[in-house]
Amino acid sequence: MSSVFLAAGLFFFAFAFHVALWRVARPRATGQVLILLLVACICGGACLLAACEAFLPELTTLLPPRLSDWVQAVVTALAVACVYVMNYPAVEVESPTLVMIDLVAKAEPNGLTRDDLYQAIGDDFLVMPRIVDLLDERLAIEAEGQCRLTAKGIRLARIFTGWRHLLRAGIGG
Amino acid sequence: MNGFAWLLVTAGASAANMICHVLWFRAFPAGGMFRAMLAGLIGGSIALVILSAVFIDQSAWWHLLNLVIYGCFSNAYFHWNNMGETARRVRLMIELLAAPTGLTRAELINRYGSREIIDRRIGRMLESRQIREVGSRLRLGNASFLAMARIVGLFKRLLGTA
Repeated sequence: MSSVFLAAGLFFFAFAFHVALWRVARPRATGQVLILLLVACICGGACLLAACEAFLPELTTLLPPRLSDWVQAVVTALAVACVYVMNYPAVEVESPTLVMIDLVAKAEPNGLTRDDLYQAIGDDFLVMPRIVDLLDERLAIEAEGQCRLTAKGIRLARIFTGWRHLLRAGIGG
Repeated sequence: MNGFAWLLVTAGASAANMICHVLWFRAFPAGGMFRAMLAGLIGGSIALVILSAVFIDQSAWWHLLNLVIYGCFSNAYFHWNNMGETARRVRLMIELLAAPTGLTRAELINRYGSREIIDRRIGRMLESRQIREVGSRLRLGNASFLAMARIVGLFKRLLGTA
């Protein structure tokens, strides 16, 4: 049971730190900072607790007894953090699907046409901010009006194209 | 070493999930990515049950953590595939990868503009019955995405990004 509480405690510690930091000073490259912050808080929190256990024997009854249980708790917290990171883009930027659903819901009971959607959400809302994100995250650079992938962007794009090649899936979007 | 048996259980179930997903999608590409992911989830869950049965003597909490780890893996794997399927940034990166000399913003929009983004999503939402088409009008169907939109809105307010 102590492993479950340790995992939950480590994740919520990291999550609270993330909420506080975002409210005070949201970083520019949010994706990369979020990953580093959550991993550092979870692993650092576990190390801190392990160190405290040596000085405060009362903690021994609250914390897992075996190294394998500690690792299981840390991996669980990291797994939950991974889910949060994968879901985070929907919080950071407007998801087209959710925006469209919201517009359709607001137009009830008559609904709306495709043309209404084309007019409501255009390239400035759907594409331009994503191009700026690529530049902010240094996945691409823009020089003399031309956007090009950086070495980091090429590596990431190749991971996705390689994976879709393995699946024999077409181009997404 | 037996203490690390949870690693075997969760890694085994996660690998089974991936293998079932890839094989299903390659065998039935017309069924779509999401049906293949469901097949992967079911395959991995069966593997999780079988592997957990081998370590039945472990505590319920031990099994609960394994279930959480496997659930998290499945969700993250779903989003990983979903990113390749739907993420705009990924699609833009793939377009740029195919153009080593670079593209202007206008050229990027020409290759992947708002109309295509909207049409692809309408198609997926009609397929999953999130919306329905009545004549030429789009109406709300299943409200699960709307609930998701509300939850995302709450997180936006919590983080101050709204």
